[in-house]
Amino acid sequence: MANVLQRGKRLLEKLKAEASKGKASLCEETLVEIKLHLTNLRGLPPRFEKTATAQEEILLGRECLEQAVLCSVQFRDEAAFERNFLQLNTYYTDTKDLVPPSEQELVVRGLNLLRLLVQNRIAEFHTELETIPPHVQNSSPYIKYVIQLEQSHMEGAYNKILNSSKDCPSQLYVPFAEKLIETVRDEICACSEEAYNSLTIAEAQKIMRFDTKQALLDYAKESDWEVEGDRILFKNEAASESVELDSMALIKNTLYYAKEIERIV
Amino acid sequence: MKKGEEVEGQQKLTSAQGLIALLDEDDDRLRACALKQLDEVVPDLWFEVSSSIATIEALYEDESFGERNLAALLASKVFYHLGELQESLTYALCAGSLFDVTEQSDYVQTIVGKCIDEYMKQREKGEISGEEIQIDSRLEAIVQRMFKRCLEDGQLEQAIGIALDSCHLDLLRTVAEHGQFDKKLLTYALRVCQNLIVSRKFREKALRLMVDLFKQLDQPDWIVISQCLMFLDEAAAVAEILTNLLGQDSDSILLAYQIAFDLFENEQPQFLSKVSDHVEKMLKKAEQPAETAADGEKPAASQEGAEPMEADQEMTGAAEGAAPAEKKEKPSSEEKESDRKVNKLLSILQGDAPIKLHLEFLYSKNRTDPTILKNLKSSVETRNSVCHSAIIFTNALMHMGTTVDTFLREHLDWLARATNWAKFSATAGLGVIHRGQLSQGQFLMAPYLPSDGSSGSPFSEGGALYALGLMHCDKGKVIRDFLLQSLRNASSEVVQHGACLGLGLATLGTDDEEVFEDLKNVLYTDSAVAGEAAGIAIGLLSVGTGSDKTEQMLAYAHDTQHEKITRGLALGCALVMYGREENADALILQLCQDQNPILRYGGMFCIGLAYSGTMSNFAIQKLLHFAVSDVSDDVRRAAVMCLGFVMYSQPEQCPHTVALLSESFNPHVRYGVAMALGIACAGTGMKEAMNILQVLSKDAIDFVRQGALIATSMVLLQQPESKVSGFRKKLDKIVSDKHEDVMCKMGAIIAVGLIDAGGRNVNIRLRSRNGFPRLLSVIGMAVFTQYWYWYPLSYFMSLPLTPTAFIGLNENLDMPKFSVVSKCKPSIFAYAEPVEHANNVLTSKAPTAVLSTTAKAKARAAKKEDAKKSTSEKGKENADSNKMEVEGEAAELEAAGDEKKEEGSKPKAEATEEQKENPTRVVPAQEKHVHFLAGSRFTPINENAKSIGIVLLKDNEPGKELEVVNIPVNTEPPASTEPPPPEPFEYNSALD
Repeated sequence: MANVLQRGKRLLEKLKAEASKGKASLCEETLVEIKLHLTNLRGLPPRFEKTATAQEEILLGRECLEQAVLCSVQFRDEAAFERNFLQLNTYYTDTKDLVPPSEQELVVRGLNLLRLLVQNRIAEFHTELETIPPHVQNSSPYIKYVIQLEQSHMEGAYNKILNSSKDCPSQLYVPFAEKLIETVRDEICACSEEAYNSLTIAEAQKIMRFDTKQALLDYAKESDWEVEGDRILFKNEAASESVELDSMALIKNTLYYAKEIERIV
Repeated sequence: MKKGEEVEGQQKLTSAQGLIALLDEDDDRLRACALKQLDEVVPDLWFEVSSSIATIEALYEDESFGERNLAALLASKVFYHLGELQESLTYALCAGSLFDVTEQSDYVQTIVGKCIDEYMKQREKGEISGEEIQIDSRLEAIVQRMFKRCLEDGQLEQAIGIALDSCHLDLLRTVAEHGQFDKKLLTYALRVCQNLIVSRKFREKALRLMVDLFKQLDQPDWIVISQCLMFLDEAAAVAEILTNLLGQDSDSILLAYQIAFDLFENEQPQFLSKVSDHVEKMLKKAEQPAETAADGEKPAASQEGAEPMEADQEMTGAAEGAAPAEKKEKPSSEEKESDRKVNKLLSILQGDAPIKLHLEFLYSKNRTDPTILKNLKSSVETRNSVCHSAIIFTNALMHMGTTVDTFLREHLDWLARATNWAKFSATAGLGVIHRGQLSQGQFLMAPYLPSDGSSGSPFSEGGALYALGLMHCDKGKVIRDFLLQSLRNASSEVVQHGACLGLGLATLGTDDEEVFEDLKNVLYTDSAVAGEAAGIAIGLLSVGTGSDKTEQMLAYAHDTQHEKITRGLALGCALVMYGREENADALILQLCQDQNPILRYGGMFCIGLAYSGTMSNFAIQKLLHFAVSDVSDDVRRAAVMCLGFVMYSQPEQCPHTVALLSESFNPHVRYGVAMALGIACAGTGMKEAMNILQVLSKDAIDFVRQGALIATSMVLLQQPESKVSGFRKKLDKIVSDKHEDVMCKMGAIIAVGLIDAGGRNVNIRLRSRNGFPRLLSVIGMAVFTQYWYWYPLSYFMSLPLTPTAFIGLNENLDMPKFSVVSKCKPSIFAYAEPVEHANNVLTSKAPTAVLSTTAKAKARAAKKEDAKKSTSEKGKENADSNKMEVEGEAAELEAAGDEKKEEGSKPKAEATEEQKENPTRVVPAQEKHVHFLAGSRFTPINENAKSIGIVLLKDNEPGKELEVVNIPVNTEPPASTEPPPPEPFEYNSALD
């Protein structure tokens, strides 16, 4: 057992080394190897066998997965982040009575919340938030930061979000925070599309907070907006046509149902 | 997470999200690990796994993925938890060897059960359609594995169940080879064969195998074997068994008789006559060589039977002459002995012996209460011919088979009001009363038949011919020629009508070509009345043969203009298809799709009779469909009614099947419901049926009430008096109510007759004790229901009424003095009490209860003279009636009378059991309480015998003197029967 553990530790070291060098593909390979290796450890979930080294095993498993999560942040891979986090989450929820809590836990959880915010999965964000005790929510800078962001997002105080990327609690949050700006911009664009028939390019650039005119034009092309001279035209004619309700038919139907119900009873 | 459950305090996974996330990894090894771990946690966390079922399915579909089986197993488990058993089964099969049938989890057991079900369904489908159906080999493998396990664990009943349900005889054979098949198991298997196998073809195959297996037992149960052979229509094999037994020791001879009686009870006339022919043939051959070959000792007759057919006539003739001379006296007496035995056996098979016994029983135990009839007569307006002839019918029912026609004799004036067809019916009623008097039949009917060319009314002549048919029903060899001649001579269509019905009954099931030609000639005269009878008669003639006569019948049914003829032919077709099951499907389809509602009506009966007593889902579905969708009321009524015929083998199923229909807006459907319940639940007294009938008997429509009353009396037949008395009162009220509808009144009158039918000693039994349908009873019932259109057909009701007797016989077919014990309070089944001894009190108590109520009711209604018969005179009256019944037992009666006085003062003290003297009435409900006495001189030859029906008894003290119960049946010709002169008495003025 001991050498299995040792090998695990060695693999972890290797992963850390590769991550620090920023070699994505190598990291991935090592990760698969680590995960496979972890299945040999019988003290880990879902088996929870009480081996002599169970605690060490769990600690190792947790650390490995934490490292995996951090790697995926580093390489900005949201899908991998989600997978790894879900695997790691088991440790946080199911082994919290077996081993001392991890220092990284709140960092990782905060990251996960941030990811959900980036992906605009607000419902899941709140579900996830509920699993964190209120006093931790208030005390941990990682969690507080994300909560703040979410509130701004809900209020529509987009400039607050845009400014917030500067006061990240950790360097690890930067990649996702940058992504959040894109999310916010999408939101703004979607609103503008509804709100205006057309905008001048300068105004649009200001509202949508593009740094350059070119960036805006690229975005307009992607969103199928027409650019005429210095104006951007949104194609919202179809949406503006409100659907007239056929009230006569509605009334007729309702009366028919009422009559039918009377007949059935 | 099994381990987690086992070890206390161990951690459990709270979410499978982590493992599910692993499934999305790119590496196959990781996915495999995830699958393995998910498989462990799936019982607890299936709800999480189910959301990613698509991923798991995709993994199974991925051919390049190594652990596809594991993915299938996981998918199967998830579907199982989702309740999608079909999907689950499919994936379980895909999982191959990973699906472990020996595992003791709910999942595995459910899926294996599903698997076996599926297998059976497919096999059965293949068996019915006759095609080879490709069954998934994986499915088969699992069933085989389960089957092996059943065998290993000694759960043989389950193994038999699997084998039979999956229509797999090889498996059954394996069971037989594996363990010693004992009698209990075989009986179980037989019951499954009879009741649960849908396909007739397979049932035959299975029974054939069962016969082989039964024969391999150390002590083969010949009774059961012969019953199976009867179903298979293997007359020769049965005959062989019988002759074989006859050649052995006295016990075997008794057994042979017992088998013969049991076969007779099943009412398969064609089969019985075939058996008796075979027996005759075999014994004639076997007899003589036996004499020459062995000295005095009789070798087993079956060996002789197996000898070549060319057994030389002259040789045997010579031997016959030589034998007595050579072997002094002993062999010759033995030969006589064996002749006697053979004759006895033949007399049983041909029905002479059992019919005689039943006649004696019904005659001696007759408990008909003449006052009931008198009350009926006086409370009904005589000018109303419907009620009038209903009373005549009731009289016939009440005295069925008892030969007592005093009521008719005493009221000749009243009887004379029956004219035309009523006269026809009244004359036919005599046939019912004298049913079973085979030798005297023609003699009894002589006054009504034309003598020397001079004939009376055609109605009485026709009725007499019909009566002869009823009397000789299915034992009509003696009367066939006479009836045929009468049919040919008949000029009036009324006489033709009677002759056709009589001939049909007498030649029941013989498929006689000559008779068929004559009936066809009558049919083609296109006379409505005669044609209808001819149609039914052809059906009776070929009943249950499934012959192609139906084509001709159908063709003519389409041709003719007369609805009556069409109806007769349609019913005839149904009769021909009796018991044919799948073989009748073509005709059923043809009839059901016909434009003519009368033919569809026949189609309904065709379904009911072809699938009679099978509980076939196909038949029930079809009938229910027609019951709610046909445009013709007649067809709907018939469809519901026929449900009763399909379901009588499991009467407890019937009430809830028809319960909804009983609330139908259509009165015809409601009437059908009543009749269906009456047919299916006859004699059971079932509560559920009674509840529905109770509602129907208060229906707004008169004919629904009529049906409900008739059905109720069928259901309550021979039930304990405590259940029946309320119904009797109700009938009384309906009959005496002046404002009641005639239809309903008629129903009530018939119900009165039915509930006391056959001197209170008969019941409706559509199934034999061994579970086979009884042909005569079923078709009798079917034709009876035609009374709706034609009252004279109601007399067919006498066919299903069978004596509920216990009759013990010794080897001479005499009734020795012998008793059985009934382990319950005598009063519960009190009516049946024999005339003897203490029981007499109770029998007399019960009839008086009726007497007093009816007398009172009448007194209130009519204030007639009869009211004088008040309760104070009860005792005398009973003594009188008893005297009328059995003269030979007068002495005992006196003693009984004395005891009655004693017990009359303290009626509460009741015994908890009673002795019943041979022969005695044992009603179906009582059956389980009646036992043979241990240590008695006579014991039944078949140790499993129930104390009902005709039972052969073994004499354990052969030397001792034998007391025999002798019952002389009055067979005097009716013409010369005068009321007996009063007994001599001494006038004593002092008493006055």
